[in-house]
Amino acid sequence: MTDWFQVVIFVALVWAAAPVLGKHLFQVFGDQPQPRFDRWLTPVENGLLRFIGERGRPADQAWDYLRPLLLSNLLFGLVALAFLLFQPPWLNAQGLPAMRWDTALHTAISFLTNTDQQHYTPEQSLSDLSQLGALQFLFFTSAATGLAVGFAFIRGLCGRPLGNFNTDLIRGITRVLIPLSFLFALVLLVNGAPMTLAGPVTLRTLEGADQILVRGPVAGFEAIKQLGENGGGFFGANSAHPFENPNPFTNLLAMVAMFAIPAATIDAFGRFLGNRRQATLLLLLVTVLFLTLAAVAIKAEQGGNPLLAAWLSGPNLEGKEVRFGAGITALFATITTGSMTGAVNGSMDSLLPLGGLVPLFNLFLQVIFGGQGTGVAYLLVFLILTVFLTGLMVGRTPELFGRKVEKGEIVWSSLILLIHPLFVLVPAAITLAYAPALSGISNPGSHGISQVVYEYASASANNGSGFEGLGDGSLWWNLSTIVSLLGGRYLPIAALLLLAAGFARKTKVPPGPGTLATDTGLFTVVTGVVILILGALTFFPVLALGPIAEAFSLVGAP
Amino acid sequence: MTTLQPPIFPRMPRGRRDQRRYTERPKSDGLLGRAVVQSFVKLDPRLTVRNPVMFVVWCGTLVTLAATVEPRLFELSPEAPGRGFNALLSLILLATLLFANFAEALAEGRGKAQADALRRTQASTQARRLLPDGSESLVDSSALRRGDQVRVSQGEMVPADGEVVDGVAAVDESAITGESAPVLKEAGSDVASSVTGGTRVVSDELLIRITADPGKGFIDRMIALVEGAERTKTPNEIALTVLLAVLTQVFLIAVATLPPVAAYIGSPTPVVVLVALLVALIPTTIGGLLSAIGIAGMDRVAQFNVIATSGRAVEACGDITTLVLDKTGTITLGNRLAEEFLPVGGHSERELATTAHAASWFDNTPEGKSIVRLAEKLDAVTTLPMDTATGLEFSARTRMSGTDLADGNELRKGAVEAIKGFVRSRGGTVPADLDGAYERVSRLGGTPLAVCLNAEIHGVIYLKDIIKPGMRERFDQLRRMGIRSVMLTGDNAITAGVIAREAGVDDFIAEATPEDKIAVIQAEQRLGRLVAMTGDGTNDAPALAQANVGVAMNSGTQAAKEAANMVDLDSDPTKLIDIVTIGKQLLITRGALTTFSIANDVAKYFAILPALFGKAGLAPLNLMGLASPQSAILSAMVFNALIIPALVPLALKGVAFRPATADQLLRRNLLVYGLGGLVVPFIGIKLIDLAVSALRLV
Amino acid sequence: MASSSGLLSKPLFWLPLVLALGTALAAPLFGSSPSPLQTTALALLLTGTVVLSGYLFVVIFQPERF
Repeated sequence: MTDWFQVVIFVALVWAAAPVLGKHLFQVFGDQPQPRFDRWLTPVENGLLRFIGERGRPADQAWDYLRPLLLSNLLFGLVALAFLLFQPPWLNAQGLPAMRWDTALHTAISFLTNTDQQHYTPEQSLSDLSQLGALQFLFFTSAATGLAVGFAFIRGLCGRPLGNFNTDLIRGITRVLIPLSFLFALVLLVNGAPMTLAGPVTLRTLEGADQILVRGPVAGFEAIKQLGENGGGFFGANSAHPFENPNPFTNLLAMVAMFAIPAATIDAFGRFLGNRRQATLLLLLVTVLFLTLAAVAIKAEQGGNPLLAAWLSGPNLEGKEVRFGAGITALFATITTGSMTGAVNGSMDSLLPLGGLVPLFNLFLQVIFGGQGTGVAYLLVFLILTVFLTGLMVGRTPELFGRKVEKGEIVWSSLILLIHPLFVLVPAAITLAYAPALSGISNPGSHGISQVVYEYASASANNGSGFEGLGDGSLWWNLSTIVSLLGGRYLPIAALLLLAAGFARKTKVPPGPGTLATDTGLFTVVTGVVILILGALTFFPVLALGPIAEAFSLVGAP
Repeated sequence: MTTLQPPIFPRMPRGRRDQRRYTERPKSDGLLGRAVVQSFVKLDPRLTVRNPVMFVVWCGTLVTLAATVEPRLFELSPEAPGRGFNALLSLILLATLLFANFAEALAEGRGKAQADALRRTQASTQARRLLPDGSESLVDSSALRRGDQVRVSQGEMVPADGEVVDGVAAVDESAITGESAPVLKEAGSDVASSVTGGTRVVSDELLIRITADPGKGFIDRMIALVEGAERTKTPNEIALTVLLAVLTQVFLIAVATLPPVAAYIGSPTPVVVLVALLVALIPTTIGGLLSAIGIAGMDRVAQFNVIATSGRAVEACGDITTLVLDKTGTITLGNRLAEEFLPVGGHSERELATTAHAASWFDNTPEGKSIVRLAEKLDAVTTLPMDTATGLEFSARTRMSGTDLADGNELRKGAVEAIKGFVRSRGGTVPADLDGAYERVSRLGGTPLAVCLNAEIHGVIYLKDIIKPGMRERFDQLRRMGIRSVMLTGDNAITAGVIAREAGVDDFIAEATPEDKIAVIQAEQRLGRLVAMTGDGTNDAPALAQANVGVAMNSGTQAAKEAANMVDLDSDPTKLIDIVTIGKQLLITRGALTTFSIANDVAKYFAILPALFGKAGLAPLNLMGLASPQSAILSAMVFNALIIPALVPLALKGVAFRPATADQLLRRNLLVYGLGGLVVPFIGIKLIDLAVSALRLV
Repeated sequence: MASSSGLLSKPLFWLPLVLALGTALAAPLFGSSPSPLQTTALALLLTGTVVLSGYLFVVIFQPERF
């Protein structure tokens, strides 16, 4: 019961925060005056922009926005890679050695792409310097890159020029990510998360053995990890670790933090469009989808494993943090995969089949709030596809927001539909074809399929969580997931920018009675159905062979 | 009131619109037989490759055929389906291909029949070409080139599209328009100077300058379009093709990556079944019918006796948001008739009628003739010496016409403002009660014509406009489709307002000059609206070219026809509404079948996946309770194949379209094709499965 | 340019080449098959699927050509 109560509180908090934060995002990315911020931040931002020689001209072509994005990301990646490859002795109390080259490359790219898959155990591999200089640095830049793309896409869809990437990147960090994570870090500090560079402490346990307790600048790290939908833990246990997630209150805040910016981006989109009703309906749509999936996951975990029912009643507590319980862990899992964060407060691998199906489904759809900036963009791409499919049925060339949806829009939207099949199904098939040699799968049968598919889906969706049993530290896993990481990040970004740039150039058609209205309940429902059908149809076979087959095996299907 | 003579509009189709048949149905003997033959011819991969969805089916058929020849070719497992199953599957896939080809061939066949009917009008004839030295030489009509001059006498065919340079003749255009009354053709006149190839001169003789090279005339373009020979995809078709190709690609990847995944849990997947799964999932229904829908759309346009120069133009009709129409001839019957004389400035009615009679003496327009008739009825015949007088023709610039007598007296009639100006320029004054008479006529929705003798205004003639029957309903329909109608007229604002209200148009531009037309269109387009207009005069040509859809009347000038992207052979301006409907139907049909096709996949998954992975524990997904895995797969495939011919009539006729708002249309079509698409295959596959297992096919 | 693209635009010329090359490259993947015929058939099937997928990409990006 308390689980459901917490679901209600969570949704209420997200909905309450969305308009407030959405207004702020609109001001930041819509070039509205913000006297309280402008006074302090404008000189800093302008100084930084001057420093990199940016004049702030808005991009006409997609490439004008994409080029600085790719260049800056390349630079960020190289900086992070250098930290990881060399891991100098500074702030390295444990004297940890440098990372293996392939793990370092994978880690750098994984954090660069806002994914944060971790094929290593952080507290045993990374110095505080690496955690801060490589990872926390990328937390900010990758989240800000996503935000920038999201708002460039929104601008294009609303008929404005795409904007200037460097300006967006810097303002996203100075006005959104730093202030919010500063506040959240303070709350975490108060609740007991450590924030120190003093290195680990050695404790004498009750049995008299020595135990090394790793500390670090966790509170600050944790805040942007959640808010920026990054998800890479300071500790291997991630948000199940008491330093990262001290108590149920911080757990609730951590969950809200994951949805806060995506929900606010949808709200801000309505302000850009001048049609807040449209944004509210979209927010309602993803909320309903989210609640459905959360209900499935919570129900499954609360019910426990039917095979053990004879000996063990009660919820499925395997791989759960008992401080939070089965239901809340399932809720957390639904949120972290829906928002492409990838932080976990329990073991995904230990979820029951239906509980595991929900995160996998979230990764496939990528819109149930979705990634930083990209989530709303994908949602709007689905809106474009829905408009195209149903728009023809009202006898007009389909229009969205007063602009015609034609070949260009369909090509770029469709490309986004193709990313997952290419970067999830193809590598998963290759890995499973050579399972003994490549995979390091810890479970045979359907669960093994789920593990492999999940790993690539997590990489391609830039989520970062994983089914823990997978021995994913190998050369094969590092290199093959890099392909999915990069493909799942930069190809959609390029497609989104191309789509938006082309869309903005079209002449606006005034709405009339013959125009298909997209801000109606009916159309929103249709969009939901299209999302489910297009998403589900593509992945139904693997879902069927993975979690669904496993679920049937549990209930003792004939 | 008055004894109006029934107006003569030789080209106006008679009868109620819904009962009219524009062209008799082309002969369809042997249509089915030819289509069957064509379905096999179209199996040629060079043709199939143009349709990505069906090409994938084609490749899949190759694989299943190979597996029929040697069932062990791709499979190790002894449980793999045997030769019989593979042969059945190959047959079903082949049938799927043939059904899709049949749909296209049938649409093309009907188009060809239509084209043949058109071509018959183009039968090669002999033409007398004028040589530079003035002599004539007999040449074949196909040897004629643009710019040649030919002489056509009574009883001869007009060899090609052209413009009358000299002569007056009656021409029978029934071969093209279906209208039996001959039409007068003469040189110089805006409207009556263009002739179409294939029509027959029934009296006198014409000298014609050819305006189109052979094979480039309107009819030729239409033939090419309805035959599908020069079919280029329309923008919407291209976008839809991309979406279908992407869905196909997605399913190709999803199915091709399945074997290693399935093998991992020890549930091998026979290649033939994977092919079946792929073909079931890719949108074959819309893929197979897409080109048939487009060809059938052009065919429907041709049946309405409209020549479209491209499919793009027909499709653009569905997007029209503004319709710009001339008042005269479109909304009102072409001719206004004199109804009453309203004298002013102390003149008597008889005095005014006499002056009007003299002023209209040389006016051969229907209006002028009706004034003469009305005056004669009042016994007000002029006594002025008309044999020495000269006529002054109406021009759009002066907006008046009249008669100049040999003694220097000038009689004028025309727009009130124009006459006022004329009178003032002659030093006269405008009578105080003129404005009252002017307003009275305007309020009645009539056109006031002022009449003056030299500097003295005698009064106003009330020309009555007659709105065509049924216009109000048509504009209501347009409004429900979201199309705004704008009426253009040279009348004053009051008259225009009355007519606009009576006819039910949404907006009007009064006192419009020809130049205003293009300005109105450009203004609408700047607001992002798509504009259609109809026109016939040479001065309409720029506006026709500027409009997104320009429909020229066949009775119009060559210049107008060249500038337009459609020509209405019946010269019925309201037909644009029918073309809009066809354009919308085209889009709706494509969207509906795409939705249907994708919604079908849900049921197909539930049929094939449990059959494919029964051993992996997916048997409970067999919601339909299909008899056996093999019959489940075959049933799904048979359904997939049969749904194509089942939907052919819909594809050819188009989804029924009733004018309604976008929201109502969406609701209705979603219910029928979306929900229907989800439910129908569940029922269909189950029924086929019952039949398959009853027949013990597998 | 014209001559080389002319040759490349003829599928009858390059398609068999691509299929043969792909089959040769993919054959080792199916080395465990009982007969060389099946090895070739499966390798050809894989190559054909990849080529088909490539064709679909061409349709997606240049739909006007079809």
